[in-house]
Amino acid sequence: MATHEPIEILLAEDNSADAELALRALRDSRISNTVIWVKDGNEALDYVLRRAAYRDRATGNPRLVLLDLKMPKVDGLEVLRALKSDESTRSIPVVVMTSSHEERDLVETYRLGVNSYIVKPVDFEQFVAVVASAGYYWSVVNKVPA
Amino acid sequence: MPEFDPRRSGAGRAPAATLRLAGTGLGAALLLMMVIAAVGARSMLESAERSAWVEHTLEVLAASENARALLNRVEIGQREYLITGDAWRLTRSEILQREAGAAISLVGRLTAEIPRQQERVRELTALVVERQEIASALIEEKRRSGTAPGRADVARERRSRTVMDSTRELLDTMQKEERALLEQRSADLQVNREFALALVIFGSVSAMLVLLGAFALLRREISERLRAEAALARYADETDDLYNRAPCGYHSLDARGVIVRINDTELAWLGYARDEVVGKLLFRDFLTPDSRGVFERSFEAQKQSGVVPNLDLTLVRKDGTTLPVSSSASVIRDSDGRYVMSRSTVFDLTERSRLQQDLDRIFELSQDLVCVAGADGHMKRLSPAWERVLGHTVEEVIAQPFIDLVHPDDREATLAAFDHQLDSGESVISFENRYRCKDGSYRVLLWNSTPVPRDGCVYASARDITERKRDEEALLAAMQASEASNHELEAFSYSVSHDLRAPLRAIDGFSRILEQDFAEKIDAEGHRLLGVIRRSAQRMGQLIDDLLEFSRVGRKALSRRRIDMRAMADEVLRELVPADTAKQTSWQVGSLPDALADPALVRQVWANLLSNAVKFSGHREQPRIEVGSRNENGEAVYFVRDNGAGFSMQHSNKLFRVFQRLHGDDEFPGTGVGLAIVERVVSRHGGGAWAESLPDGGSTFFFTLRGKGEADGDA
Repeated sequence: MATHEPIEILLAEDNSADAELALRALRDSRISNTVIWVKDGNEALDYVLRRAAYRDRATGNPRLVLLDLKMPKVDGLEVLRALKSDESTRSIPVVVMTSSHEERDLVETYRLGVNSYIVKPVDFEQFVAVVASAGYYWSVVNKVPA
Repeated sequence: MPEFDPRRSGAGRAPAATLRLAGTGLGAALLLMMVIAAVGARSMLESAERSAWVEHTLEVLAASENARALLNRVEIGQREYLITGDAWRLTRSEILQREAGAAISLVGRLTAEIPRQQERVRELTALVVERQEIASALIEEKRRSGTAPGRADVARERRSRTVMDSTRELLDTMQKEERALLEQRSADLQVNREFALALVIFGSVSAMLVLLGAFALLRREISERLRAEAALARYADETDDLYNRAPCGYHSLDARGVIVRINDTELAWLGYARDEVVGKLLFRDFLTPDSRGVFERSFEAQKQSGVVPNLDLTLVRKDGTTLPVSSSASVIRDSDGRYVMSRSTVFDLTERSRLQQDLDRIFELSQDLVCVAGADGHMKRLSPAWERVLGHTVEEVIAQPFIDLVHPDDREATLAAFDHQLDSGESVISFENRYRCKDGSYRVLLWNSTPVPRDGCVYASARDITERKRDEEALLAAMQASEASNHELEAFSYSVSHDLRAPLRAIDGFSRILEQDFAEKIDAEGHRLLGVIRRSAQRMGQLIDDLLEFSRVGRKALSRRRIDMRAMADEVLRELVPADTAKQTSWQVGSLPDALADPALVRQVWANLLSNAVKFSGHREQPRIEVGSRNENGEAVYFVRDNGAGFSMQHSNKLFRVFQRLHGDDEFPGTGVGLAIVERVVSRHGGGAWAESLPDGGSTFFFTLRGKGEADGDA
């Protein structure tokens, strides 16, 4: 897979345990060779929009953004709103991964144009399965405009 | 009864003209009769005259005939004497001569008025005298000579005969004249009589015709008068009837106040007979002392002014009970303006007084502040509730413009509303403002008012809602607080779900990674322990999920829709019972009436009850699940029955409480939230849930959903 073009996934997750589990799930399922993990919404936007610490990164949008909603500084909804309201980033698939099944979050994220909304299961096997299938679908199967 | 107007009698012609005409007719007839009478009388007079004339003529004829006869006899007697010389003959001649003279003078008297006859009478007399002289001469000769006459005597004799002949001729002429006169007069009379007869006949017929005409006119006039009189009598009867049976009382008083006329109605009110009252009692005798004063004063004034406006009086009946009335009167005067009598109308006010009393009581007893406000901005009338609520006396409120009592901040709106309703005539509903109390505090009043712009006043009633307002505000504050706490609870739930689940996921996830990555280094006991850790973490995750679900069921707004309960139960069962175990579990869904409820929540009810049934009957060799309904007092009761483990009814009170379980988790896994959710859903719909069971004898769970249409479509 190393010869393939890098499939870049941005993981925005403030909880390091959840992040590690997600990274392991993505690694075990061998979907991505490049997962960029940011710990808050601001950093996520910095990365996508090539700002601040990521000013010099190579051009191009991540293939997928896995986004936690409850994050310090800038929360997931704001990141989603920013990405979906910007012409250049609107086509990036965004999968919201959250601990809770909150109706109003669900409604709000869909209103903002989320591509998928996933409740992280407590059970690790289920968690791996969910993350892997969502990651696989959105970063490999799904096609986005170049 | 046809209406009668006495002015219309006489059928077209004025009665005076008819009478005049009849009078003229009668006058003409009278005149005619007088003429006829005159003519008749004249005719009678003429007839009498004629008779007299005839008699007279006959007398003349008789007298002249007599004279002729006498003269003849005288001549014969004298001649016989001359011949015989008998003296007696001469004597008799002399007597006859005198008689003849008397007869001639009678003729002369009888014909006194006819000059021609008088002339003849004179001639006759002269002839008689002449002959007598001749005769006397002859007689003298005889007497002297005593011999027959000589020659001279013959001449005398010849002459005597000639005179005698002339005498006879004259008498004939006279008689002829008389007869001609008689004939002439008779002819004249005949003409007169015929004329008179014609005149009488014509006059009589004319008079009769005129009389007949006048009679016809009079007859018609009389019959019309009779008809008019009959109609007048009827009219008078009707007027009498109206007078007597009017729904109000009538009476007339003379100058002293004695009742001179009174109608049946008023008599009946008073309980007296007419002859006890009329001409005997004063009107004041029927009044209470108070009313008497009022009446006496107005009666005196009335004699001057002529009218009395409505007087409220109280009559005393014969039996001593009283009757409130309103009386008004007008005075009748003679042509000299002197008081004749007063005529009064009396109305029974019993009903009005009772209504007035009711109205007064409604007004006086109203708990609301009732008032009548004038366009001048002053209250005109206030109910006692004003004083009770605000502390001002009624007089104090009326004395000042009402706006002065309104809270300064409310004045503008109050005046605007007041003016608007007087301008537009529209009612004001639920207008709120504050009024100052005697003690300076303010009460909140809720107004409903209706203007009567024509009278320039507003009828209004206000309710003191100060306490209610306070309660409302308290309630609002409580609701806001409750809402705030709800928000807090939501935030709490949110963080619970998020923050508690994340560590659990870490516990489970990392235990799993430990199992995978360090499998060789951990022995069997270590793996078992890791398994316990993971199951515990998962169970806690389930508890949190269920708890959140339970909380969500309580908060979710109900959206009722018609639900095909049978289809829903069927669908949920199919999802719950996997295809491969369906062979073992026998289930049936009976007829279920539709419900009007929140579909998502009701689905949750079915899911929880049916999953329980599947779970608790899972150990049976022949698990059996039955879904059905029955009707209890018009309400659909749905039930789910299983042949599973069952439970003792003594614990049934714990069944529907959250986290309460009647079975161990090892025996039947679960969190104890499912039935609590069922209970919460049905109670939110106004229904209820209960269960019947026996240990090891299966369970039946019942629920109802109150809502329109739930008992419909029992198909």
